[in-house]
Amino acid sequence: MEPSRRKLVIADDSPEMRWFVRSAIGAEFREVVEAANGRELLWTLLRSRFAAKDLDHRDLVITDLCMPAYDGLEVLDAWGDREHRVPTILITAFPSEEIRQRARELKVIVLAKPFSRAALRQALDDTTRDPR
Amino acid sequence: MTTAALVRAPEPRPMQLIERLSGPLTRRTIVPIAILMTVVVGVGDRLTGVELPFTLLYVLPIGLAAWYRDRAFGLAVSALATACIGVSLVHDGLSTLGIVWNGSGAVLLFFAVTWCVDQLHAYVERERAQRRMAIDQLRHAERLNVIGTLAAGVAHELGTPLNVIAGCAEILAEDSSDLTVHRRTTMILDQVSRVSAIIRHLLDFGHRGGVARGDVELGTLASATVEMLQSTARKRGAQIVLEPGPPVHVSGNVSELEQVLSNLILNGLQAMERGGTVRVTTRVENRADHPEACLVVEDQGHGISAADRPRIFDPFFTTKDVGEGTGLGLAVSYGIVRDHDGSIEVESQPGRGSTFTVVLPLRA
Repeated sequence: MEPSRRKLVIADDSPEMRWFVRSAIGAEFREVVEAANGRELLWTLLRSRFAAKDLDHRDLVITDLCMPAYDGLEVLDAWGDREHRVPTILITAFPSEEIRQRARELKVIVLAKPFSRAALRQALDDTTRDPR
Repeated sequence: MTTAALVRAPEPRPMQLIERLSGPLTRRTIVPIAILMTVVVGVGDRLTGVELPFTLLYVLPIGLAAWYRDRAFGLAVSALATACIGVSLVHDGLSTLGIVWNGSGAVLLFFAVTWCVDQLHAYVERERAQRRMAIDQLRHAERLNVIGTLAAGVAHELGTPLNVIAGCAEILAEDSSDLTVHRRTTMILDQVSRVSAIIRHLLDFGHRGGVARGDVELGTLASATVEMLQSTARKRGAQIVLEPGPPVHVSGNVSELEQVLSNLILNGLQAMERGGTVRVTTRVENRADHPEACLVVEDQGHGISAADRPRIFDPFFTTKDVGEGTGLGLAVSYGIVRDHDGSIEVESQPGRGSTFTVVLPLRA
């Protein structure tokens, strides 16, 4: 069966974590792109914009908060998906009220580490049910 | 005044003097000194022809002085002073009237001097106790800060590997139809969620602030929390009693304060192995000249030993059986109350129970 979604961008400095996310929901996407730090994530996001293959609601960005170079929220802020078209999930071991607040402003779903595969799939479903 | 300012403040000079003077006078030295003084005065009286009962006037207070350790210094000094005056006065005239006059004068002076020195001594003791408490609190707060930062860092680093461990276990379980594999992976997942719970506690402890505050009525909060824990209490053969009190309003975060109260109540229940009553009271108390809100939790449990007392708010310190507690409850509660600009006071009598008092500023 053809996957229903287009592109999955996974950003995390831990290769194991990227593997975990890919193994849990990667099958639902036609293409999976990985980024090992904030800079790579930013480039991935900007490149797709310049290449006129901008991401939209059929894609998904999953990013860790704490990463080398830039943190996840900084990148999302700089990326400037102002219309909040691209479903985005922020994963963090440390969902403080401040982070939740910033995530709300960027309309990003926060997922606290450690989470199960089921929780990740649930978050994915939530992004679909809540079209941006 | 902040605790830091308290600790840095130099000691007033009169106190230093008194401390230096009273230094050698301990319970052990005061008794021989008192006896020696009595003997000297007695011999002096004999030589000058005054009757022994006059000497006994001094024996009683000096004996009492030796009995009350804390007041020993004041009484001993004043006894010495009056004894000298008394002896010098009896040289002048030995009429009955003279002796009665000198005697009552000496006794009056004795009590006056005693009272003054006693007040000074008590003042010194109070100041020292306050200073000790301030230093203890400061040290404790510093230690908790360090531990909090450390814990947050460690917890943060553990998040990713735990996630991967749980993920691998889940994949193993999904891919296998073997029952043993399923049992083992369930065990792995259970343990992971246990570690995750501890990490969440640690993060709560290490990083707080920025949590929404509002008007909290302690009586309402207490009644909701007591209601929630009543079934837990019944299971343990205990009961929780909420004493009705006037409305007490503080500014705070309801869920955090609820967490503090339920921690304290649960600790109380766990301390009472043979059942009993945990009493919860809310009231306004006058402390240091201004009213403050108090939330009191009193249990009839085994109490806290003097050795454990300084460590009960430390993270991971627990006297409970393995599996009963993580040792984070009181540490987290302490952090929450500290963030509310309050304090937690503890009184405990081993074998009879403990009383925890959460003191919070009243809502303006």
